[in-house]
Amino acid sequence: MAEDKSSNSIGLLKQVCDIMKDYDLGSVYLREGDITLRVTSQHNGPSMPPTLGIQPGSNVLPQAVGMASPPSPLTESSQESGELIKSPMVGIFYRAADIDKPPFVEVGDNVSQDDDLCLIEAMKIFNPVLAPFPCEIVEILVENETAVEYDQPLFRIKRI
Amino acid sequence: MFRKVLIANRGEIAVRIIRACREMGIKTVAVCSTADQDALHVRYADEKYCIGGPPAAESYLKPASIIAVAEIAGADAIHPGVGFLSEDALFAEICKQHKITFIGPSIDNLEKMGDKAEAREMMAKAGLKLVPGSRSNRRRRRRPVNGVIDSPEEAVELADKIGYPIGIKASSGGGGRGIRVAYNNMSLLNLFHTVKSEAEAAFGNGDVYIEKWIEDARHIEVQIIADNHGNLVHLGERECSIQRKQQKLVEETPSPSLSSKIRNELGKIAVKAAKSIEFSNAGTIEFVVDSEDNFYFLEMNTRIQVEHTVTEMITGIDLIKEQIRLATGEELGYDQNDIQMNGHAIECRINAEDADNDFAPSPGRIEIYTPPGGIGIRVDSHIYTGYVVPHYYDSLIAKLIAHGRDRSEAIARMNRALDELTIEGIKTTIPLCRKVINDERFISGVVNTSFLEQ
Repeated sequence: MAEDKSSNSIGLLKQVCDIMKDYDLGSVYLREGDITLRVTSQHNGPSMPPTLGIQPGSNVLPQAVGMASPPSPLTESSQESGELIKSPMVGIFYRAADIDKPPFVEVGDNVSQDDDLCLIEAMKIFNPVLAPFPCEIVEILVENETAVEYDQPLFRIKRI
Repeated sequence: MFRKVLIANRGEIAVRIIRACREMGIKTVAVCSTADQDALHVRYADEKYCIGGPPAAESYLKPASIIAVAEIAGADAIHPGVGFLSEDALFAEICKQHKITFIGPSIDNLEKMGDKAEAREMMAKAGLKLVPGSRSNRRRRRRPVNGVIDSPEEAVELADKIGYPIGIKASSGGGGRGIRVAYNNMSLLNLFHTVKSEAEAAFGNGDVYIEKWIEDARHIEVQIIADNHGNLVHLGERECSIQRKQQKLVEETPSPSLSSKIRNELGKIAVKAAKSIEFSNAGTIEFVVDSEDNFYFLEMNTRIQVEHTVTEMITGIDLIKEQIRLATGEELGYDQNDIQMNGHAIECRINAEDADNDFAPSPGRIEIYTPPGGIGIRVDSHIYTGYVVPHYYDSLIAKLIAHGRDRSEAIARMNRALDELTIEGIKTTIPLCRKVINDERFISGVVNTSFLEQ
């Protein structure tokens, strides 16, 4: 049984690596059944060895609910202080790795570079959005499990 | 019928598809890049989603983003339009796996006709003639080399059998690049090496093939429409010989240069060939026709084409609506005898290009746009006064179509419409189209693919 899981995981890892190459993805977070996979490409962003974990727990993927309102025309120079982290792709915004897991970040948290901030799901692939530098989360601009467009502001942050 | 269709495209074709959907009572979902936020297709659609940055590879060519939007919006079908992912078998397969209907031919059709070598072989089996040459040589077929000729001696031997002139072409070439014409053995021996080294330098691949060079060639294509149950008709031909840099500029139907005997033959053989591959939805079989009316198979386009409009004008059939209707699995509901051709139609492509400067793109802000109108005139466009033509995409900004009872009425209407059409702020092909329409050769119906060079 354990062997089956292991060979499944290797197959899945290979598939994910191919998809990353085809679509030029920097990093991928995928959960299928009880397998959770996180792969970061060395060509994009910081180097990180591929990690593969089998997590017990639910097989149920969070369900998408409705469409977010169109992005407000937020600009870098809005009255609010801080910088914006924008969505790298269209998809569903998730604040946590699983429905029974705590959110990656809350307002007021201080995070290090490359810490997970959220996941954007497109075509069943969970793509992590990472902190570009050490920062404080000033504001979370999107509701959990709502659709976001490309370039839509997700977080307001302050460098630390 | 579909409830909601996502249009995986931009520009005039996206607007064209949205118009068809609205008339059919189908909701529409537009996708756009950040360069197209103010585009007309975004304004006309019921919902819009920005899917990526301006380069097509980051937006309109990204299946993951398009499928994500289809799922978020709850679209049950995707119309890929022309270009981008429209002939991409893998994208059609991804749609299928996500239970979203790809509005277009079957995956099998896309795969087989997408592989140009396989397409030629299948069409030859169905009875279409291929341009004689190393790629059509049956004895070579078993070798997966795509007709590649290795030595000049081999080229001369084959050329003697086919007859001169002979075109020497780079396997990786296209759009008119990597082609030389030899008129005798001596020039073939010399040019063979030239093309090979040029191809090596330009494409990183020195493979060449040879085929009969067709002088005064005409480019004529046949529109096919088919359901998923084996019912299939042709909707006549389109004459597309007037091209600049291997890109079509003026198209018309019926072709002024075909006799009714050849027209009938062409239609029949196109239907037979399309049936042989169990073709479904809309597609076009392209032929090159020589001065003696021999027609040779060029390729099959497994999608709607830019110039579908002229066929619509004379048949009265809305091809986009037919594509959508047939994709739901409905039957065609008519046969070849029901198709009536009415009058003559001409299309001029208005591109944001500077015809006096080797057709260099001319993006920028349109200061004034006044479309023409009146009886027999149709404009398919996505531009408006104040619209900024982005430099990232195709230069086509409008299609001007004139329909008349006969060719001379269609020409007169096109002339009038070209005079009325005003686009200021950028350079366009309007003056060039006006020249073509008023050219003696065009008026007399004698055209070929080197029309603009002469």
